[in-house]
Amino acid sequence: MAYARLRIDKYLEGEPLTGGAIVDVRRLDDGGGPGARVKRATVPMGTSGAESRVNLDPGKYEFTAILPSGDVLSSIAEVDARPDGVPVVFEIGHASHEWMSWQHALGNVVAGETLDLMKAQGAKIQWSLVDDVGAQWFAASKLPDGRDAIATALAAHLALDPGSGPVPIKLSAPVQDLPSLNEPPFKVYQIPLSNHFDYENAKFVRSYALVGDSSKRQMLCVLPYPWRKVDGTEAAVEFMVGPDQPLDADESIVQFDVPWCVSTIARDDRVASVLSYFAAGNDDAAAFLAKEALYLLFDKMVNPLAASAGAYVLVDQWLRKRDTDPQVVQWLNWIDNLAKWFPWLPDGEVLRGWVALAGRDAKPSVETARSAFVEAERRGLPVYTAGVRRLADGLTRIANQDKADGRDDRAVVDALERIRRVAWSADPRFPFTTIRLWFDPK
Amino acid sequence: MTQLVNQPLQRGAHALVIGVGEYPWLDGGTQPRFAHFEGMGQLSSPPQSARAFAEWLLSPTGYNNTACPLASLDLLISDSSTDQFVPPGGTSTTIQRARFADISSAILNWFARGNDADDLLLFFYCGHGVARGLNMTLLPEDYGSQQTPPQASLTLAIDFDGLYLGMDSCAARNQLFFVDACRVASGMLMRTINFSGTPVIPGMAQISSPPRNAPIYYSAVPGITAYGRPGKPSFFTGALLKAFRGAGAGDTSGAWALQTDTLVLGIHHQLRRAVANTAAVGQLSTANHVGPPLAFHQLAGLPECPVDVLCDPESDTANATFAVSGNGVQQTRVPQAAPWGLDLLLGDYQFAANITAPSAKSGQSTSRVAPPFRSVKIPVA
Repeated sequence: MAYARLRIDKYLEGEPLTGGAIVDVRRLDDGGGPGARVKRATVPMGTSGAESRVNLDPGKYEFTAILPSGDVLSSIAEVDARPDGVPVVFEIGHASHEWMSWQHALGNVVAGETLDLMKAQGAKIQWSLVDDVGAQWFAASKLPDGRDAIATALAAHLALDPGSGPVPIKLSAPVQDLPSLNEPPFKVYQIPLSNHFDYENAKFVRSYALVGDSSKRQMLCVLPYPWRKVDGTEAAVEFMVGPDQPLDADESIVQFDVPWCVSTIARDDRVASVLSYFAAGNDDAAAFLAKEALYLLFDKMVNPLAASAGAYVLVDQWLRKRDTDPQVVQWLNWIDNLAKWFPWLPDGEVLRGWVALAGRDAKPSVETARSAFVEAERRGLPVYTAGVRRLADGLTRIANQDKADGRDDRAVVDALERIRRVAWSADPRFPFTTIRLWFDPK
Repeated sequence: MTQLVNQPLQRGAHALVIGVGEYPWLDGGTQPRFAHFEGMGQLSSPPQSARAFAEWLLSPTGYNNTACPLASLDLLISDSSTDQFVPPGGTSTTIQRARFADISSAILNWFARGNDADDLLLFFYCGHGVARGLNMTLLPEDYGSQQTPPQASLTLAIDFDGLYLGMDSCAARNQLFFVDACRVASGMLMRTINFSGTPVIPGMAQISSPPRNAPIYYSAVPGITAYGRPGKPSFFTGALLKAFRGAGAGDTSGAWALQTDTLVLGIHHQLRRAVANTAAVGQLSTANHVGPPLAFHQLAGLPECPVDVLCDPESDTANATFAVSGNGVQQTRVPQAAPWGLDLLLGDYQFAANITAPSAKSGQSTSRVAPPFRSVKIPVA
């Protein structure tokens, strides 16, 4: 048996991105015609130690890596039976700074070389776009009556007349200013490590970031914090503020009310790429990586945030295929655990509701879904944008059914009205929930 | 309703194609302008986009699916210049306009025609769209005609997300949606409570079984404009039809075919190239609900693939004369700042770069070209 050693050469501040990207392997020396793809595999990003091994029959192969950004890298190699395998190394360039390396790897920012070239060519870029942007970090627990403090403040804020212009959101929680790392027109904010995980605590306190500029335009970001990796260590959580549109976007397509955006990531070597593929609409790649990491995500439930990420991807796929094999049924059971064991996490209930609507054992339960969706909304903002969409869609389905049946369930109607406002203000391009708090109705 | 094709088939593809360019109640229209027109006016591109998509469906060199041939095509176009459509090799036909009632009726008929689980439903819309966050609303020709109160105008708009949910109750389990419209925020939408237009077919609670495979391909990410080209198909439709020639193809079915999963990347790369150096630079397509690969169109030959040729280092690209040869192709390009964009059939090619000034350098590369895209970086020294 011969094998290839795959790697995307990328320095990520000493960390590997184990599930970095997917790679399709096609055999070329038997014609390379239709159906020549022999394997799909993962290729890690990192320095020399980070490699994946792909066993192959000796022959000539094309390795095509599809990155989370949609970029395509390819390499052709003769794979022979040499004992130490045949190295296949892809180059994606480097970020302007090491601290931007993860955002670059996940497709949120261009390579440093490209940025330098744009500067040299005098590209019309608003380099000072985020100069006046600042960020604060805060934690918020439940109100005395059990409602989620942030969801409650947000509901009041989003009900304001948009014609009143940008108005700062009223928060009761104390906030902490965050320092930024700057490379115009980008800023990166890193959240200090927590060194403490208490996911099992029913009174777990969730964290958020509030990003704003001098024109009082604000963005509320749900932070996936703290983030425990499967090896028990903590992954850094960071967010980058940059132009809302691609750097080379023509002025006329940049909308006046959305000049900048925020992309949040957790530097988790197993989950970060899954989320980037999922957010980019490459569900097939996301599902492939999530399945690779299935047991790591669910087995010991070391991180319900990471488990929810995998669950969104896999439930999306399951809703379109509805496998009934025992392995699938097993992770569907884990979704019940997510909902039950972590009462502060809305996403588990969102997922449970959708599984109920579809019917795990060919027995859909609208009533189970109804209670799951109402409970999810009560718990607060879903951590994931996919959760906001799924929750709004799920409650819409229930409300439509109620209307057709002549039933009046105020809990559903009220929950739907609140989550719809959140959905209307969410930025769907990024995996973690990010809410625009202003709208210019001009 | 203008059904250009209506064949009773046990299993077939049913297409609903809509292009709205004339908006009498929006800026530049023939009727009193809607006070809340929000900068929207007349469009010349959507009718051409709808015609181009319909032509692809009807052309002998276009849509090709032996297991699911074209069984029906309903075309609705609002065009200020003509109400005619000439199908490939056919005679001119008068086309139904795309007013709200016409579109609603066409959607209900389209839904009813997809009465077999193996039917394939195709939905194509090009025209004005408005959005708020995750939700999108499509605007028929008569949007703005109900001026008082202004929010009543939304009763003549299509809540696309609501329609998408509702289509789950259709018997046909394979559904493809192409939405070529702006997704910029609308003050009108932001001010209404719980109303984004009429879904036509509301979604019910229970998810239908067997599950459907129903991806949506959008011309723009939320919050941005999708650009048309005066009198021509839009950038997105142009890129989509180019991706249909190969960039969106895969071969997991054992033959080269357009697949729902690979099409995402094919459109992305074709659109990125189409908008380069235009006002639309930055328009990014996106897709949702992409499920397991569904092959829906078999290619007649080898896939045509977009290729960008540049130097390594990239800064030398502007000074390089490029050449490509192989598979009967022999082309060169004089120095230009942008990468050399080519469309080549699947295969192996030799690429060369030659730089004479400011210092002499050259390089060569042999590369394989395949879907969805290849970037050939020629090391020069």
